[in-house]
Amino acid sequence: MSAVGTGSLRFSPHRVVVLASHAFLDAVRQRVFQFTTLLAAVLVVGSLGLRELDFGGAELKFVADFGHGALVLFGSVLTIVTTVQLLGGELENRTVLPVLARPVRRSEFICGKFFGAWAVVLVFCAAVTAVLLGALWLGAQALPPPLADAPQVPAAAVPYAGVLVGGALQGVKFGLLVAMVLLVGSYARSNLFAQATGFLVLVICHLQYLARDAWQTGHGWLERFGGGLIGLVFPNFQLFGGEYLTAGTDGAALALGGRVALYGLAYTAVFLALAVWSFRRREI
Amino acid sequence: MRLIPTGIRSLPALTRAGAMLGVLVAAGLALRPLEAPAWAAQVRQQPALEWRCLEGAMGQGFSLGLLGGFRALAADLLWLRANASWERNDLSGTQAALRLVGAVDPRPVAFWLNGARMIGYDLPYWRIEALGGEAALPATVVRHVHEEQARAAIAHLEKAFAHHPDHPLLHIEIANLLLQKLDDRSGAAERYRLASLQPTAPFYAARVHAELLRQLGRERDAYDWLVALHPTLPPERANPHAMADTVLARIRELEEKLALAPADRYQPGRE
Amino acid sequence: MAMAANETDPAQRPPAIEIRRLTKDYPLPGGRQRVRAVDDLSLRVHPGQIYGLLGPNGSGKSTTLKALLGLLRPTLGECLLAGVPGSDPAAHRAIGYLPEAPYFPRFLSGRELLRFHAKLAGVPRAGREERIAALLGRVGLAHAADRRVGSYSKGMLQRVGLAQALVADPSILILDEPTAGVDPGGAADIAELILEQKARGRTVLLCSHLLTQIEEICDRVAILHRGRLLAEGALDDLLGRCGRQSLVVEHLPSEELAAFEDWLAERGGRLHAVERPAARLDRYFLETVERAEREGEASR
Repeated sequence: MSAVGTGSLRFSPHRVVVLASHAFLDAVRQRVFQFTTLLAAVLVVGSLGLRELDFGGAELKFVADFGHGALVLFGSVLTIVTTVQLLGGELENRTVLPVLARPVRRSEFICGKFFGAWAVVLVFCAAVTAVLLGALWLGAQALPPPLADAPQVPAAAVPYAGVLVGGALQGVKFGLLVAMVLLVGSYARSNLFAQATGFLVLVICHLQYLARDAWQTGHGWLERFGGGLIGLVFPNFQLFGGEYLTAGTDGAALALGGRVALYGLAYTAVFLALAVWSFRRREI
Repeated sequence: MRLIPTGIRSLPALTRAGAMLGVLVAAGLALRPLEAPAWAAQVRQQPALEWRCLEGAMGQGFSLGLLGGFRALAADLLWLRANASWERNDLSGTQAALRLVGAVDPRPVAFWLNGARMIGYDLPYWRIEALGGEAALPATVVRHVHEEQARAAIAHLEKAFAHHPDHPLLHIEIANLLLQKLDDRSGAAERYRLASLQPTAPFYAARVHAELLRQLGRERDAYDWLVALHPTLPPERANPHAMADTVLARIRELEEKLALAPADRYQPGRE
Repeated sequence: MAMAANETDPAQRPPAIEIRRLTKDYPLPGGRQRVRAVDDLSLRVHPGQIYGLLGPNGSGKSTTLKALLGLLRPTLGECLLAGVPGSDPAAHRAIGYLPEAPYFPRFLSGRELLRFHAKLAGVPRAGREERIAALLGRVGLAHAADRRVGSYSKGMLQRVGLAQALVADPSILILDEPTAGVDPGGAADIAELILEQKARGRTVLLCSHLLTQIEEICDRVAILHRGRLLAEGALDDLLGRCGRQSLVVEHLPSEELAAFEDWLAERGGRLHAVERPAARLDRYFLETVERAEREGEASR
């Protein structure tokens, strides 16, 4: 028979993995994951129908833009809805009770939810990025080879590497969004509130640079203070944006991408730590 | 269960919220060295939004999308709208959408080129049709409409130079409009010359420039241009698009026309 | 000798569960008032006991259990599991918990649910699957082990919940309304399972508002009302039936009854009451169903 035993319960990565796998399985079996992934893939493949609007250019601009847009938009929806369902759903349905009655630290529980939700979103990113790369490759095959009718002919510019970098950065961004939604969910009393706040946070983070500009160039003290507060509290989601699709993947662009990834991961750690701290006090 | 009056219970919650805010502000300050250079690089890649052109033209959702970093996608959607208007021969709709495309995302050159073609080559026919048709209108009115639209197309292309300085395809597009719609050979020749100075310009830009000079009666200038051009071209076998042999043939024709002495004639391979 | 006495008498051993002056208030929206759900509650449950927490709905039973498990922070007082505060996850190593009206992830099968909890509780890989299969068989769910929990009936959910509580072989079982929504046959099975746990030396704390069931299986009970402890003690003491026995006889004439009374008096006994025994519907129901099942099997 199990006894209480002596000694405190240390943070266990094994239990985090168990909780994360459980959360992952929960999320991938939900319709929202299947629906958003399918919809994003259909949108990417469907954008091949717009090739005629690419004017025969090797960039396949429409395919790349629509693919990136599908990744960002559906990925954001999936991240918020999945994270809220994984935490809020468990609190609302009280399935959390037998789990927290186990020898499980609350920090392990939140970390498990984080890694489970992030894994789901990373699978989504990988799937949509793969479909996008496939669509770009298909589109490129159908294009005539570039004419060497100039002293310097630009090389075919299908941004395969850029799409990969862009997909990876979106994956980092969604991880940060998962941590932020977990923080909201750690004190939210309803799923509706958590989801609405999650989307509001997403919009604020995409417009964060406006607040930062107000902080640096604003006129009144109120504008500067408010701008500064928002600009410092919320991360800048536009840093993870699609410019990397066209920026190429030379050393400088990769270094920039690495810097942005580091920024995202550091913010993720901060928000995750706050979510753990907030959830520790939560009454179930 | 009993009801019990309570004191100021929300104070710990406020303290916690304050502490959380403090941590986030500290994190924001600590991470600024990572954020600032990346954001500066991002901003460098993005031309400023021309809000004057966009004001009132778009819904709030669209504006939010633009501000939120979806400019390329927004421009694509506007381009689709422009094409839909174009298919319906909707003159004002096409013009408005094309203006917006340029204001939202001026980076794709193809938008500028194809937009100018719609403005310069398609819209005049719609206008003429709206005025009663080519058969019913005096030739001067028809010509006036064509010229007006050509100038509008050129003005549209001129805007693109702010984002694509000296792009050869923009110069060539303007040259074609000048040539075909405004009968301005001199202007077209100059645009072809400007285009040919760029390394990515097609080989034909330099040849057309010479041909236009010849048509303008400036055979000597055309000859000098081609003589300067020929040594820069790859041999015909290496790149048939460069048409080095054709250029040499034109040089010979001009030498005949200019009645140059054999000693003064161009000798390939000799400086 | 003293140690031997401690080992045999549960009351002499340190309590498996101890609640000391627990008070729990919930703030009401607006923050100006609080609801006191549990008021100065103290309890001790000794190892090997089945302890019943009784009370009507809203009496504070579930709040007490949640505070015990550290799911709620006590406003005052403390809760200990084998001497360790319930808020310390280390205390949960010894715990098996069945929440009220258990709701488990619908996407998991019964077997997957138990596997998940076994992994969380640190049940070693060796023998884990065998233990899960045995537990599912014990609670009568072997046939539905690989069906999704979402398709389970209420009774099946309670059974899989019990199996889940037992998966880590806990020394303390905390069961919140273990028979809620279960048919009488299922309730009897669950009662039998709880008694079996006692026989294995486990401590069981259960709360219910089904008095008959509590009466049948509990050693001690506490009665809560509006968060306050009204009574606590061994069942026989509370019901005043220590040293009492009842005889059920058929067709005893009154003169024979008088003779029996005299016979008792001669031996220092006293006939406390003569009353008509009440037939219990649950017992009648079970007997009828069991008879029908026996007949059905015989006819097959």
